This record gives sequence, C-alpha cells and structure tokens, in this order.
Amino acid sequence: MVRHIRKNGHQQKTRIDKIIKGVLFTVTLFCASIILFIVMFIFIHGIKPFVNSYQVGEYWYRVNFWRFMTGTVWFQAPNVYGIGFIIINTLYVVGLALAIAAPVSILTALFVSRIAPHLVGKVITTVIELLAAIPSIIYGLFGMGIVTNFVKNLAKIFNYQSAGGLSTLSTVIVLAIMIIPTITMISIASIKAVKRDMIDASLALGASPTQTNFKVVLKSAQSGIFSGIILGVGRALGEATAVSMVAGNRGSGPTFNLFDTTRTLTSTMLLGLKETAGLDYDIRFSVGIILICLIFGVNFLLNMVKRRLSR
Amino acid sequence: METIFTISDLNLRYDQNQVLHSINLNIYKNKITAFIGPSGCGKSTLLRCFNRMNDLIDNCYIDGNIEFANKNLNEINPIELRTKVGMVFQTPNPFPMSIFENVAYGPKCQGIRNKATLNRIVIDSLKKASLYEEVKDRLHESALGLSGGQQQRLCIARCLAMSPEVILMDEPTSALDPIATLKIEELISTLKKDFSIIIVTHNMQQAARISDYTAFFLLGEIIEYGKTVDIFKNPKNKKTEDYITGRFG
Amino acid sequence: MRKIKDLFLNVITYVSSSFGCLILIILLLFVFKNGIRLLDWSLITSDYHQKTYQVNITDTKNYHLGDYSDPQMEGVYYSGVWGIGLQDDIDRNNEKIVTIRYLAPLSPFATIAKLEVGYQISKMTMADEMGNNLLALAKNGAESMVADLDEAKIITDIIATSGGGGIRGSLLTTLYLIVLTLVIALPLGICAAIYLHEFAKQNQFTHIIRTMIDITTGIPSIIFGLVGAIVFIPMMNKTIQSSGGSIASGALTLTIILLPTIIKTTEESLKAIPNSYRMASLALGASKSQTTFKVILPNAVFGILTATLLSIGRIIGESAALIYAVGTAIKDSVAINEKSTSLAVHIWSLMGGENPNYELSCAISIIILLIVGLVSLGVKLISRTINKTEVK
Repeated sequence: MVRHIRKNGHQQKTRIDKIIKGVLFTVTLFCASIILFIVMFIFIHGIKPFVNSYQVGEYWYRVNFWRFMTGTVWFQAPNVYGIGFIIINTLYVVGLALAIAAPVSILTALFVSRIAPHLVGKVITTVIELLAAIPSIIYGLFGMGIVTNFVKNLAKIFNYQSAGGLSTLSTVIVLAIMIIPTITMISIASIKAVKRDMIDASLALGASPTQTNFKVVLKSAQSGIFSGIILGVGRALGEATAVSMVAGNRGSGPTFNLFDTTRTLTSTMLLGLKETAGLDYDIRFSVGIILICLIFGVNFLLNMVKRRLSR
Repeated sequence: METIFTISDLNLRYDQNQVLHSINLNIYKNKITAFIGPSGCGKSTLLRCFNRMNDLIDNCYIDGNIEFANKNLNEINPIELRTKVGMVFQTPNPFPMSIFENVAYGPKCQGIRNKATLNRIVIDSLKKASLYEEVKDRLHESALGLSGGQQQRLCIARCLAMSPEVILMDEPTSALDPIATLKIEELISTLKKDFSIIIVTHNMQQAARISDYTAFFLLGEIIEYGKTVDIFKNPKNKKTEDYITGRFG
Repeated sequence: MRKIKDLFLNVITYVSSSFGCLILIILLLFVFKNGIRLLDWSLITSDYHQKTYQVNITDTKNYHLGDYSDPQMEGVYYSGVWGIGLQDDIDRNNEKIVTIRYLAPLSPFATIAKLEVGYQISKMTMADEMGNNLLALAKNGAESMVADLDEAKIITDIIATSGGGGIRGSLLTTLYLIVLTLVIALPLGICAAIYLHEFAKQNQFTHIIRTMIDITTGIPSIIFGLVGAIVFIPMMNKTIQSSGGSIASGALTLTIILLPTIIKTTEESLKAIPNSYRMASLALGASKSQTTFKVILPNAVFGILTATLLSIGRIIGESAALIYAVGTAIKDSVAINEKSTSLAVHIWSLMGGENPNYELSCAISIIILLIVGLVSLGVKLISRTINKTEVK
C-alpha cells in the first residue's frame, strides 16, 4: 500500500518537473527572441517610407532609398530625406569623443591600479562609479548649462559665431565625459589582472616603474582595454538624450567644423517628436534601422581589429 | 678570489615574522654559488635582496648590510643596480611581444635606439643563451609561441642583453622537463666565464653538478657554506649531512 | 633623457586622473547650486500646472473695509483696509510674483473671492472712491500693490493662480513605472535565469539563446522606445483603453530593456550557490523543481535584490525610450492607462522649447541623483555582505 503511494508521488514529481521546465523554457525563449522582434518590427515599420506612398497635399509620395542614404540635406519638402551626412557626422563626433576619452580613461585606470596609494585609488574608483551611474538626461542638462557656455566663450576667442554653444564640440565633450567611466572601469579590471610575474621581470631588467607601466602592463592588458573601448563606442553611438540637448540638429552637412551645429542619427530620431505624423514619424524608424546596422557594423569591425591585435 | 657581494649580519622580517636570521655571506666573482635547503627557509627571499626586489614589498623590513662591489647596496639607485644584477625567474615569463622585442627590451629602456646596435645585442644574447639557432628565422614572431624550455632560455637571453655582472636565478628549471633542464644547466656552466651566478635550487643533484660554492639554508639561517665538493663529500654540520642524504626535506 | 620621458608620462597620468574628479565636482556644483532653491516639500506635493482663478469683489453690501489687525509679519506688506498680507517672491519658472501670506478671517479676499494663503496674485483692477481705475501688476511688487489696495473701494478683476511647478505627478508616475515594470520583469527574468542555469543542457542551442540575450544589451534604449511605440502602444490601446502612450506601454518597454540585466545578475548569484546544496536536496529525493524553489531561490535572494536595485536605477534614469513609448505630456493626475512623464522625461519637457527652466530641472536632478546614489550604495552594501558570508 505504502509503496504504491510512493510510486505515484514520484510520477507526480516528474510530471511537475516537466511542466515547470516547459514553462521556464517558454519564458526563456521569449526573452531571447526579443532581439528578433526588435529587428523585425523596426524593419517592417522603417521600410514603409520607401515602399508605401504617403499623401502630402494633393499627391502621393515615396522616399528614394539611394538619395536617403547619400543625401546631404535632412528634409526637403515634400518627400526628400537624406541621412548620408548624418552618418558621417555621427561617426565624426563619436570618433573625436573616443580620441579624448580613450587616453584619459586608460591613464586614469593605470593611475588607479598601479601608481596611486590604495586609498586614493579607492576614492577615484568611487568617483568613476558615480559618474557611470548618472543618467544621460542629467549629462544633457549639464551640457546645456555648462558645456555650451564654455564652447560659446571659446568660439568668441576664435571669432566664430556659434549657435549659443550648441555645436559639434559640445557634443564631443559631453559624449567623451559619458564614455570615460565605461572605458575606465573595464581598463582597471584588465590592468589589475596583469600577472605580477611580468611586472617583476620588467623591473628586474632595470626598467623604471613608469617604463614598466607603459611598455609591459598596458601591452599585457591591451585586449581587455580594447573591449572597454568597443563598449564605449557602442554607448556613444546609441546615446540619444544628452546629444539631442547639445547638438543643435543641423539641417544639412556634413560638417567638420567644431563650432558648427551638428546632427546625429539619434538626435534625428528624438528631436521634433511632438509635431510629427505620417511620413515624418515613420522615417525615424528608417533612421533606427540604419542606427542598428551602424552599431552592429562598427562592433563587428572593432572586434576584428581586436582579434588581429592580440595575434 | 674576488668578492662581488658581501653580506654582514642581515636580518629580514615580514611584519613580525622573521624570515632571515643574521646572514653572513661572501659571494665570489665568476663562480656559481648555489643556495639549497627545504622550501620556505628564505633562499628566494635572500636572492631578492641582491637586486632589491624586496623593496617592492610593503611590509618587508631589512636590517644589516649588503655590499655590492664594495658599495653599500642602499646607496646605489635600484634601477641602476638591476642593470648590473639580473634575474631569471622560476616560471618563464616572456613579455607578450616578439622574440626580438623581448631581448631588446632592457637595452631600449636604457635609451639605446640604434637599430644596428640593438640587432647586434639581440643576436649576441640569443647566441650566448644557446637559443639563436632555434629562433633565428622567427625573431619577429610572438615569444609566447615557444616551448617552456625555449622561453626560459629567452628569459636568460633577455637578461644577458643587459650585460650584467651578476645573474640571480630562482629555481630556473623547476618548471621544465628533464631535457630542457639539462640544456639550461649546460648553459649556466658556460656563462660562468663572464658572469657571477647565484642559483636557488630545490634539486640537490643540480647544485652538486653545476655550482662551485654551496650554502645550505634551514629556517632562515645559513647552516653551512663552502666549496660544493666539501659540502657534499664532507659536510661539517650534522643537519647538512641529514639534508644531503635525504633524511628530511 | 629617460627621466624626462618618465616625468612627462607621469604628469599626464596625474592630470588625466584628476579629470574625472573635476567633472564630477563641476557637475554636482552646477546641479546643486541651481536646484537647491526650489527643493522643498511643496515641490514634491504640488501640481505642475497652475490653476487660474478670475474673481471680483464688487458687491459692496457683503463686505466691509478697514481696520483688520496687522499680524506684523516680516517682509509682508499689509493692507489693513482689506485684511490681506502680500509678499514678493519668485516662482519655479523664475518670474516675479506676489504671494498671499496672510488673510484675515473676515477679509473679503477670503470670504467673497475665496482665495487662500499661498496663492499668487498676478493682476488686480480696482477703483477708488472717486471711480478712478487702479491697475496693480505682480511685476511692480507687493508694496505698490498694497498701496493701491489701500485706496481702492471695489476690485473689478482679480487674476490669481495657485500651484505650479510641482513634480507630484511625475514622481507618482515614476513610482508606478518602477512597480509595474518590476512586477512584470522580475518574474520573467528570474524564470529565464533559472532555466538557463538549472535546467538547460549546455549545448549549442543554449549557447545561441545566451548570445541572443547578450546582443540585446548592446542595443541603445531609443530603439526599444521605437519598438514600444509601434508594439506596446497599440497593444495597450486595445486592451486597457488608452489613447496613445500610457504608463502601461512605458512599463512594458522598460521590461524588455531590463530583462537582459535581470537575467545576467540573477544567473551570477545562481552560479555562486555551491553545487553541494543541489546534490544534497536531490539525494533526499526532492524533485528538480522542489530543489530549485525551496533551496536554490532563497539563496539567490541577494542577487535578485541586486537586480531589483539596478533596475530601479535604470528606470529612474531612462529618458529616450520613454519619450517614444509614453510621451512628454506633464500631468498632475496620473493613471496607468494615461500618458504622463517620469522625472527624467519631465526634465526633457522643461528643457525643450523656448524657455528652458534650469532651476526646476536641477531640482529634479538632485532628487534623481539622490535616488541613484542610494541605489548604488545599496548594491555595494549587498556585494560586501555576500563577500563576507563567502569568506566565512
């Protein structure tokens, strides 16, 4: 009698296990397929301007894809949109931001891990962690309040009229500030992971601590540092709020002048959202497709570079 | 016989833990001196005193005197000291660079930029380390692609490129296979001509094979020091005899 | 030569490291200096939109003038004739206003015009005994307004406002968003983490699933906003009768943003649980599910707590996604099926447009920074507690 009950109990347990496993599996599948949904929906909606016709006034229009990709003006009524120059401006701004942020981050990481006394290192690490946690809207606010004023005054020194400080330079500065914490934190971890052995060998050969740091430590940590850079670049390309508040959303381009206003893919998507409908709304999704492609493309390229470096 | 290092009354402790007690020792020029003894008795710690690598450890306190070529060690700039006293470590640790770059590292740090000079130094050092023939066709490939024994000879070459007066070796063959070990022992014997070598080893047979002088360490003290032949054939101290005959350690 | 090079490298290293500290200090100074003036309890509890009242006091039979006692308040200009005390002030939009600081109980301002202490008076049109018109504007100050009042017999037009610039609506919205998102996202994320770590076989398929979840972390939040706009807004429109964006659609959008983080953090804490627990439980005859829910999950509490805190921090700071998935209309009455703004989007609304309001934005930023600071502190404390128990 007792054995009979126990056997049933086992069967029940196994059945419950199977059900629960099934439920959990479904949930997991759902979570994993989010990326697919994202790509699919944005693609479907973003394709519309090129495939469907929109009514503007009396006529029906489509947007020409080639002119979209190579255009130097964002909008010309009634149906000409161009993001060619925006892509260039985006890469330009992110590239400059990286040129500032990468050295600062790597040197800060070196300082914290190898040079500074323990307490100072902890303080700076906490400062970096705090900076990493600050939301982008506050960086945008900071950009509008302080950075644009700084750039405006700087432009005066160069006798250049800037649009109240909204400029490429402001965007570059704000982006650099935002990606420094990311690159720094990963670099600190990579530098700390360099084997003591390697450092001792360098010192035993008569190299100074500074020479050891720059020639051996950084070289050993370079793979990790590069990962941090890739992460930072991804974040900069996708940053929308802060950039929209300081860029100025220039109508045409591309422009490489630091004091000119500029426009990025993300600022294009975000600004002017209130007064949009129809074609103007849908074209933002097309910009979204291009943004996703750009981020994946840049990521892929940088990862290839990283692999070649570590050989 | 010329003395290159003189140690008088050296005491070393980590915080309150005393590791070396009243060490008195003379290291002779152009000879191979071996430090033997059971593990943890301070041999490597003493070795690291010779090139002031212990300075890098925060809680290490040293009392006593070490003289290098009749100059107090503390009065010599440590970076300069390390160009004259080189070190080879237990586990081969080549830098993640090419073979050429590894050997050229030391001279470059000293400011030597001339390509022809660097080339000559690298080839010379690799030859002296008995490695040149094996790597001459791949000098610009990564050093991490070499075998363990080759890597250790590379580290020796790297050290030789600095033309030091003394080479310190901390159990250089304990991580290698017997064939590689043999090659390196042969190498060490040839190096004696131009350099003074101090080698820490766990392997008594190795000490007996290659060294001229041997110091036996136990619990941070030197129990006996003298010519290798004497130590191994006629040890004066019973503890030395016990260790050599394998009764402990 | 080498020494000069070394010195140069050292100098630029020191300079670079102080850059980060400098930026943090400047940023905090900026935010606090501009925002601290507005930071008080009423900011949190009042409405954003002002209520306007237009009244008059003309029915001379129902009130009497003169000799209301002076409460002698500092800085307040008092009209003994009408029993009202006015003070100069600056509102949250940085404009000069006149605030009612005192009302005698029988003052016609209280009994007939039904105004209250704390309201602002923008404009008053009055007439004195001779029938001359007097016009008092807030920008001319409280003192002149009171002087005019003392002459006046009737007031033909009062424009008064109350409230304004408060963030109660946005604060409530943020709270709703946090709770709603966590209620949906935490269970989903924990389930996925449990499946991946406890149940799934480590084969190619699982690897693909993990990679797909990982890729999601590299997507910028504005893209999630786009998805929310075309998927969740119509979905909510049909189900809970919202029109356009709603807190619900925002919460769903935030869910898909946070899922990868929750899954990763929870999985980390699952990894830290020693396998011996699982073995012991199974050896006692418990089923896999029983082991998971009775033994494993309770030990993963710290990880789940960390995931919760990280999510809260992320939700508070999120702006771009919510701008698309919810909207930018600042509201005072908040409902889940209606549009509203979170604190971050509130700042966006304030700063867009022609008159950016730095002070109010900085005040809100102080609140956001405080919450983010507390969240970071919480996460650090948890990780320290975990390490202590592990070391034991």
